[in-house]
Amino acid sequence: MIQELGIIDTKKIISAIQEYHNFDFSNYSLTTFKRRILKVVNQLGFLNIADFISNLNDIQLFEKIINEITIDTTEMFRDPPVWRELRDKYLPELYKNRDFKIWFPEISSGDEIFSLAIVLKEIGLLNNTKILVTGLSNKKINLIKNGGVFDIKKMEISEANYKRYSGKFQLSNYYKLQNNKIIFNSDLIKGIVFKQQNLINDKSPGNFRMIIYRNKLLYFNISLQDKVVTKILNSLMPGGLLFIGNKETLESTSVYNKFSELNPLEKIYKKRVI
Amino acid sequence: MLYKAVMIGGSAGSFQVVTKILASLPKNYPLPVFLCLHRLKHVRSGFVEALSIKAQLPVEEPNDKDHIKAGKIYLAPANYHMYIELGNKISLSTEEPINHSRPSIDLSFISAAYTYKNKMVGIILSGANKDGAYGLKKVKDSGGLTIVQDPKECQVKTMTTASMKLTQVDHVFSTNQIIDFLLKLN
Repeated sequence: MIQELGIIDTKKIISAIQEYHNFDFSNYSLTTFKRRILKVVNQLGFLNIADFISNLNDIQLFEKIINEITIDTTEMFRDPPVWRELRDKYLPELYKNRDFKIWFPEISSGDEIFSLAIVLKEIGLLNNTKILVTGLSNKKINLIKNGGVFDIKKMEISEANYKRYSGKFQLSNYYKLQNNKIIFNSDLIKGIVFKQQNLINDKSPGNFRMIIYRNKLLYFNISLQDKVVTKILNSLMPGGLLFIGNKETLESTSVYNKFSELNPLEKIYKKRVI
Repeated sequence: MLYKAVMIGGSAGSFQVVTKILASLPKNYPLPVFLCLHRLKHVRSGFVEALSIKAQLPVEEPNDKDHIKAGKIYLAPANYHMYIELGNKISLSTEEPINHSRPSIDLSFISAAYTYKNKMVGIILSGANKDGAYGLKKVKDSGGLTIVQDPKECQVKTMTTASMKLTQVDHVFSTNQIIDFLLKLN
């Protein structure tokens, strides 16, 4: 088992991926990037890093890296107050606009999509909402489309979060158990549009009233955070809302003054009208 | 100066020890102090406030990519791993829990050892889980100084004995000795 990835090898890996797959990891947070790469190296049983690097032209290996780098270990209803605010305040407000569009960029797990779908369903707005989900990993998008497929162990945490959110029922009303896996009712997401997309390079869709992008900026350095937040800003309608993780901040980005902070604790921002 | 940072890991039974240590660090303390303590993941508030009561230095749960400053106490936030990055920055992560822990003491220590090498002090306090033992070994392997709270004094000694089993630690100290040592770095 290889336990450490030096800085020179890390740079070699980044430039090989850049060269073979035209994907730039150079502005990713270093510690997490190294951990994810080491995980792939060890899972596939490479005996040394040089071997791994010389195989990086392989498309399957690249897909495996993308799968591992898109962190999917969050929870449903993580930070219950955020979902309560959505239910009690922001979604009813949006509904005054009749139909509205919400975007989940860079999705790697179904946790927040099913959370939002359940919130919308319980307040009777699921059919009035257009939701776009984009993500880097096709494999993970397909998993979500098929009902999420969650680990049973993880579901205890999500159930507890749902209780703190004070949902109408129990989370188990929305899923079934199949081969020891949790599979959510696909009716919840039948109106959702899923698309494979590279947020950084591809052209972004526009005119959203709400963008939910929680705990994703963590994996980028400040310069890439700036680039991504600028893109997101341009995809929001004036007055539109941006949700980020409660330990993330827009303060270091160049577009910070384009937002006003609605909830400093839960990191809910509004795009200024002028 | 010999050292650039102090990192302290602990879980069950470490709260009072940490409080006592923080109470004795003076306002002009020249190093950043990182705390990675196991905590209830859904209780996000109250911990910083509790630690701040007696501390003379500011205690905060950093935001992702915060710039590290001397004389500040950084507490790993609930439900995030806390890493020390090259370039004097903190980063947070929602990667999977390690040893059922997020924040994981191992992961904080591994990243700090990588960044600070022989310029850090790693301290493991009372705790009910072996998380931290491997991280402390990485600190030692990178040339850093390693301290373990004397298991005789610990409310729960799993964490300290696991650390001592894995690493030839530099010092086994009582709380008062840890405080004396940290004050000498001043």
